[in-house]
Amino acid sequence: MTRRVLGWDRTAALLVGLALLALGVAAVLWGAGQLTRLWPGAPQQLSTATATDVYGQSWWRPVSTAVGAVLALLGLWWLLSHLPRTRVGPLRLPGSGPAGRSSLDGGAAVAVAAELLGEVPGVRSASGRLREHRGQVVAEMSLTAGPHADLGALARSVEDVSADLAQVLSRDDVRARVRVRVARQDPSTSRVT
Amino acid sequence: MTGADRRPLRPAAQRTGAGPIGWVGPLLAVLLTLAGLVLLRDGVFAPSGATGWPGGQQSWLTTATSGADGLAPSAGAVVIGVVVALVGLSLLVVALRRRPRRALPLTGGSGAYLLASDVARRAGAAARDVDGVLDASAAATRSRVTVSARTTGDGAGVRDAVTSAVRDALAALERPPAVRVRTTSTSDATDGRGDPT
Repeated sequence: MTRRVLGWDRTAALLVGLALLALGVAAVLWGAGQLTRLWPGAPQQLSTATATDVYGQSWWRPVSTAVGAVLALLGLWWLLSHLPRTRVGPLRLPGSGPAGRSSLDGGAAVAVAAELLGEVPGVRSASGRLREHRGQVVAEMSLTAGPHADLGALARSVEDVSADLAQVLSRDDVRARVRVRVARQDPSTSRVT
Repeated sequence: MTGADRRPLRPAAQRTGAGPIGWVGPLLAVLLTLAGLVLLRDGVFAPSGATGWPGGQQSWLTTATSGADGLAPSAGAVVIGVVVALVGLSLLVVALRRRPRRALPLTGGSGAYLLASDVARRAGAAARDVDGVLDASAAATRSRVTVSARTTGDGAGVRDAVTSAVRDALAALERPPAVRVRTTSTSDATDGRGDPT
């Protein structure tokens, strides 16, 4: 989900929320017979005659069809834009020009970096891939460390591997994110109590 | 490899949870689509001229609004109004709420982070390594780790040892959470209160 779609979500929730709040407060006041204090012309009885009249007008049919079609398509498009698009194609490397392009499968580079992370002492497994997240190309890695892992040493190892990866990718705009999981138990060492 | 150029990739924006807007947004999109379909259906099937609705059909819009026709002020209207206002208010809260932050970054700015549950596991393991601790478990939020340890005795001394061990283990976090340790001593339990096992 991009920031833009999230912005639409928030705006829509804000507008609908305000409308419902106003409607609800009006209904409470009207139900308690207090609405005439704010609005002297408030009706004593609800009437939907105006709406029914509008539905009977000759222009209503094309307008309803057109507005309905637009709203339905808009809603569908809005809904579908929530689907995550995280695939990242080959990365274009610096030095590419009219004479030739060099590009790199960034995902493979990140996977290799993750393999290196997997060999760090205390790390049991690691994986990595390149994905797009909120407009940034992110080298996303995940590793599982034993419950006794030295987090400081781990942070330094991640920096090392990340520096190598930065050199391989040689692009400034790629960011990194490394999820460090901690395993529940240490299977190799059983504690004697 | 030149030494000066070895810099890690810059960290990506912190991972956040979606919060309720993550499903409220798609829900509103579905509702908008449904409203559009109702209008479209009424427009397409509406009678042109005096032919009447085909096949005994009716306008869905008329059906929806006719229920409110002729309503007079009542207690029911107040109740419905309260419910509608509360739904509106909760939508406002959802719209304006920040996405929950969940990550606890490691030092070094490499983009490495732990979630609170993993911090709790690391803290629990650190506590179990302390002499005098029989068993320990931990719960964590982004700002606080609470360790519950079962000890062999000497509550205060072991508590201090556990506190410093957990602090050391979590020192590599950029903002280490506060550490609280609760100890229960097994010798207390056998001395009369609690179960004697």
